[in-house]
Amino acid sequence: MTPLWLRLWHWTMAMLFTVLVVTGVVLTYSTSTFALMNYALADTLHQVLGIAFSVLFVVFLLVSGLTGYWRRYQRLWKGLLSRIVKFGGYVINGVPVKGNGGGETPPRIELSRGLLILVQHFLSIFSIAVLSPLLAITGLVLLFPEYAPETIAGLGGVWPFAIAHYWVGFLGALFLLFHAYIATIAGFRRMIKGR
Amino acid sequence: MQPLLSGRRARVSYSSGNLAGRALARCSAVSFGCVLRLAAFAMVMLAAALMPGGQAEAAGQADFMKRMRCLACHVGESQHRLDGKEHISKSSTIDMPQFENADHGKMLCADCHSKGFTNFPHRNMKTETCMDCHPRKEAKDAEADKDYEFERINREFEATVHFTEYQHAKERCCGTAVGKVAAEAGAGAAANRKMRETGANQRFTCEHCHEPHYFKATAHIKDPKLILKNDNGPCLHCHMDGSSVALKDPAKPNLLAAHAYLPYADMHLKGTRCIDCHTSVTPTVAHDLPKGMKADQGCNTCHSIDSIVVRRLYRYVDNASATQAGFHNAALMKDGYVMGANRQRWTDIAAYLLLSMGLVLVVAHGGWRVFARKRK
Ligand code: HEM
Ligand code: HEM
Repeated sequence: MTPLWLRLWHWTMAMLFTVLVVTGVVLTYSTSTFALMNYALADTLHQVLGIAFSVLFVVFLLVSGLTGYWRRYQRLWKGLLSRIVKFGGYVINGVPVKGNGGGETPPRIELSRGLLILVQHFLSIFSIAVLSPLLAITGLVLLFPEYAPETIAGLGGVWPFAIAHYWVGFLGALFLLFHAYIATIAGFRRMIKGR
Repeated sequence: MQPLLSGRRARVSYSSGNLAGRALARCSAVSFGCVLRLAAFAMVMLAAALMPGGQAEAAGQADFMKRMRCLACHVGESQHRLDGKEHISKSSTIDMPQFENADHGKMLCADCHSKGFTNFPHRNMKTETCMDCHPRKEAKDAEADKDYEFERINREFEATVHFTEYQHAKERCCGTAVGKVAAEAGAGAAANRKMRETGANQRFTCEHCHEPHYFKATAHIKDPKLILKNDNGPCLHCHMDGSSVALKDPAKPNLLAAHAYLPYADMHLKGTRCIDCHTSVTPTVAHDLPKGMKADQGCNTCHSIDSIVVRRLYRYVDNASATQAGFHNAALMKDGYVMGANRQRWTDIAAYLLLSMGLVLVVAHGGWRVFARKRK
């Protein structure tokens, strides 16, 4: 059973994240005469939603910590990488007959579905353990550039943070691509109805 | 260039001229003041005559003598200030080292103060204004002036609030302009006084911002930081917080508040010129002033890979748009990171590649799924 708070949190985050990626692209990849959307609006949205994102991330930590929901990720994480490797091997080489008890091996498409579900678990954990905190931290530095060092390596001091934020944001965009794609296979139902 | 006055002697004569000038400025017309002035002038002429002529060329000497006539009264720490006090700016003194360092520094006073200034008290004066000489006609000068399109600048300027509103705002005027209205004022000392008073009726002119004695074109300043200071000076003189010239918008308590809608308003105010937003961004030297929020011409005019800042404030930096260590427009980054303008080439390429690979994976996998389902 997936609790309601988590589902609400998840879809809010999904929306925020999508808009943050789009506005992040506008902030970086505009020309003097063309921007995908009004640049000022993109900037405001990015700042406001970025703060909302950071707050919601802390909310997630608190609630999952208090309710004990975090143990789910602990369970999912156990042996996750070795299982991914094992399942990957099955998809490529087929399931060893011995392990299958002599019965029919499952079709390759089922195996790859199993693999993708494991990858999805990995991505989910990655998103909350690595991506979200890094996005919030690098984003908050950019939000208060006046506290960044005056210069770093002879250049205006904000650049390392901007590059870091860009890369974490970019990984976030890649995460979103795979996470949302795998969702079309692994099923939305649990994240909507709760089971 | 060869300095007009140099060494100790120069300083002495500056200060004596200055003293005499200041004292006399307050006396009205002829009488005792005039005698003193002439005495001061004679002293300076004597000093000049005694100066060793070795280095100075004959022509330089002649110019020197011509200027001396004026400088006897008008040399000294600049009083050419726009501080809104009545009369004061008409008794102006000129800071010679600064004048000589400026773009008009080789000119003679009489080149611009062309009529009525040779005798004291000055009568029926006429001072040339910027547009009387610019755009210049002679071959080399004409070439130098071409880029600026003075006619267009003048047209743009005359459509701005500075020009259209200012002449009615008597109490606000600092009266320093050397506009035509004053130059045509009547004769004599009385007229002289009247001229000062009608200073308040003068129009806002080029000279309000481009102080002709000290003006230096950005092309000759080059360094963006100095250009920034130089170009914001005239604007801030009237518009800064607490300016004695009450021109700031009373609805907004200060500059920062007026720009509060900008993200990081303080950094924008510190790092850019007022005119970078408050004139149309497309031409290089625009003089229109889009009113109010129209100054906002889209953040991405600067926050972009082809940032216009490179073509304006950083125009005289060699290769301002060049890429260094992968950073585009690297020259900007020396003064501060500009989002959107300082993209990183290698980072960009890596991101494009990774994203394309990701998309290919997803599309290939999706295609395979559809294909496999159909076969079933
Ligand atoms: C999916 C999430 C996000 C993505 C893809 C993303 C992407 C980006 C990108 C590409 C930029 C432009 C960087 C540059 O060129 O210098 C940027 C700027 C910025 N981001 Fe994010 N970001 C994300 C989340 C966040 C979060 C969570 C915050 C806040 C806590 C945040 C705050 C900022 C700030 C303050 C800036 C600078 C914009 C400005 O100065 O107005 N971002 N982001
Ligand atoms: C368009 C965007 C998104 C879609 C379509 C989507 C879809 C899904 C789906 C279908 C699941 C259930 C997977 C399963 O059954 O295991 C899921 C789980 C999850 N998603 Fe997303 N998601 C999106 C965006 C995000 C974002 C932006 C984040 C994080 C910042 C995120 C974090 C998670 C987490 C942590 C889980 C696991 C939840 C749990 O089972 O406890 N998702 N997502």
